[in-house]
Amino acid sequence: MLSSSVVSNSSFTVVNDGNITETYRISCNTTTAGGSPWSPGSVRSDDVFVLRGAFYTVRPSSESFKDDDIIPEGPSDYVVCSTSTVAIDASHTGKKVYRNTKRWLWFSFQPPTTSGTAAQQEITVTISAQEDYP
Amino acid sequence: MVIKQKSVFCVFIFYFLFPFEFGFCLGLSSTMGEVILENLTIGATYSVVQQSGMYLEVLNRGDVPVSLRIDVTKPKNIPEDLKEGYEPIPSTDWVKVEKILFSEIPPGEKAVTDITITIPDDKKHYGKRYQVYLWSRTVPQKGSIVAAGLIHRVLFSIAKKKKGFFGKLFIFLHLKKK
Repeated sequence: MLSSSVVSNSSFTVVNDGNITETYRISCNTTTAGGSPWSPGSVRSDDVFVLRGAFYTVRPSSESFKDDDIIPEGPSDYVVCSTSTVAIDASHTGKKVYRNTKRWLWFSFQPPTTSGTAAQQEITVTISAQEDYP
Repeated sequence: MVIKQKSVFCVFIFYFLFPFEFGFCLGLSSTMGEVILENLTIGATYSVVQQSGMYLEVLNRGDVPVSLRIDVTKPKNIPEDLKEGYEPIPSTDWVKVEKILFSEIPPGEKAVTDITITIPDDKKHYGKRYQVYLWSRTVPQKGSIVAAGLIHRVLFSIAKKKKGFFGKLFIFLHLKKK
């Protein structure tokens, strides 16, 4: 059994330095060269990991992440940031991010219960901006 | 036809995996946040460049060269994803991006391409309003755990009726008069 969950030690800083308000959409993929037996999911199991993301100003605890913070597999799926999704609370979110505004994105990672490989695996998170509806 | 051009639309991601040792930023911007095409006709193909002179341009505003991929994706059928009055495009096959992959775009340089939309010749689309996304994003390099993306929204409406003989004649005479 692999360890249960870990929160990133540092955050990604996401900046809107354009001139419109935007909302972020987030997805992830395994990008290990030669392919990976792992895939993202909503419940950890054999070769299935769970990746959650949350915007917050300081490092959150692992208990602060919720199921609606789960980052699905792109490009066909993604999570749309709101005041409750990909957020610890409504004070710092990826929704309606005004110009010249910074956001800090943290991750919680739950590895698969068992892994079909002993090799290091690579996972890429894609953070996409979209013009917010007026 | 209306082309709505927004100014600069971008995302910057600062990435510090090992503070004090290494970090970089990825950034993309585009002037095409949203495009609105009105009164398209069934059975016709439209080039956004030919209609408006506007290309889909994505600028690499990061500090490293990036490869870029542009895909056509369907919005989710949820209020957060759909503009009021529009529904997801029935098939992403209707929309073609002239060039999907761009390799090693240096900082400060742009990826530029055209988009075409083909409306099937089917009367069930009369009067419909559809929404589709163009998703441009950096292709992850080896060892990179983050990618930046932009979602360009394309909205279009289909005319309520195909132009008949008299409609076409009217347009012909109108153009001749000019």
